[in-house]
Amino acid sequence: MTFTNEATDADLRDPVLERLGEGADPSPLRRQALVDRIAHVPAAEAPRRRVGVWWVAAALAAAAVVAGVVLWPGEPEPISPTALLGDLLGPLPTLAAPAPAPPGPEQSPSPMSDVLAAVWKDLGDPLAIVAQTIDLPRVLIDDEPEVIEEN
Amino acid sequence: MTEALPWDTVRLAARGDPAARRDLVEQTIDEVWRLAMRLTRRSDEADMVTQETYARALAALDGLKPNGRFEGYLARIATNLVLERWRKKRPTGPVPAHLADEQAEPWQQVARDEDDRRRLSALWQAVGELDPKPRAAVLLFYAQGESCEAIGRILDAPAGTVKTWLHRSRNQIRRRAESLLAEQPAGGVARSGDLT
Repeated sequence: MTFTNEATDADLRDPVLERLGEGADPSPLRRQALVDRIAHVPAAEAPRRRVGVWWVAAALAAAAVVAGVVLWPGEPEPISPTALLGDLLGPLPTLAAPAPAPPGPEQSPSPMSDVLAAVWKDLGDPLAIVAQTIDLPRVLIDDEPEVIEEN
Repeated sequence: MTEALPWDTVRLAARGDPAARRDLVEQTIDEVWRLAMRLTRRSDEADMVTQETYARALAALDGLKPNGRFEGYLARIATNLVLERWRKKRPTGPVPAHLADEQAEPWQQVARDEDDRRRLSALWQAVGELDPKPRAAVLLFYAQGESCEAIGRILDAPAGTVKTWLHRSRNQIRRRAESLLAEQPAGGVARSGDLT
């Protein structure tokens, strides 16, 4: 059986079951202790206080920026990069004049033909090796024994 | 049911007014504790549920819309906390030694004589055997005096469903309590209608 929505709360009243509402009162001491514990927990105030702290921090930061702009010395003097580097690195030491080169054997300047000769000499050996490599198969063929055909 | 807490007090408490906060707790704590005690049937558990209820309620006061009774909002939190415990079937530990004297169940404080104590004990045992939501509905309706609509809001169910729960549970409780009384007759054979 399903109880319909038309039934009113009064239809459901029952003096026997209403006895469930008797008793269950907190003792005065327990009640007081609970009220003290609950009412003094600062949990509900915490978010509001945190918001306040953020506002104060933001205001202080803004004040610091404004103070920095206002109190900054008027027209800044242009500083050249050289002067800045000079300030950072200190005075550069004076470069001494280069010492004279020790005297050596006098060399006459080589003419161009000498240079080419030297290069050609350097290339001589590789060219010989290449030539040998090219000739090698021919040598091998030449060295093969002749096949004697027997009739 | 006590007089409803004015929403002005709630508004002031939400703004962090300590006096309003204390007023809010003072004016509503009896109802919350009674509900927690009826649902948990242990005073130490009722204390825990009450504290947790206020911790949650006070933390969310800012966003609360003034709709209905503030006590209904507290009852919703407390009931859901207990339903959560029932669903988890959290085992209840032994009663702490310093609370042993205070652990009388609700009916033990109001029973007029031994027979009355037995009747109320059977009644409470039968209520304790109901499913969580119908059990909460029975206690909210009969013990706390909430309306079906208010219970529907607390338990997140239509009023018609609440009425069905109450109707079925009432019959179930009566049958079960009478059977319990018949099993343990005191001073003679239990008669039909002993519950009344």
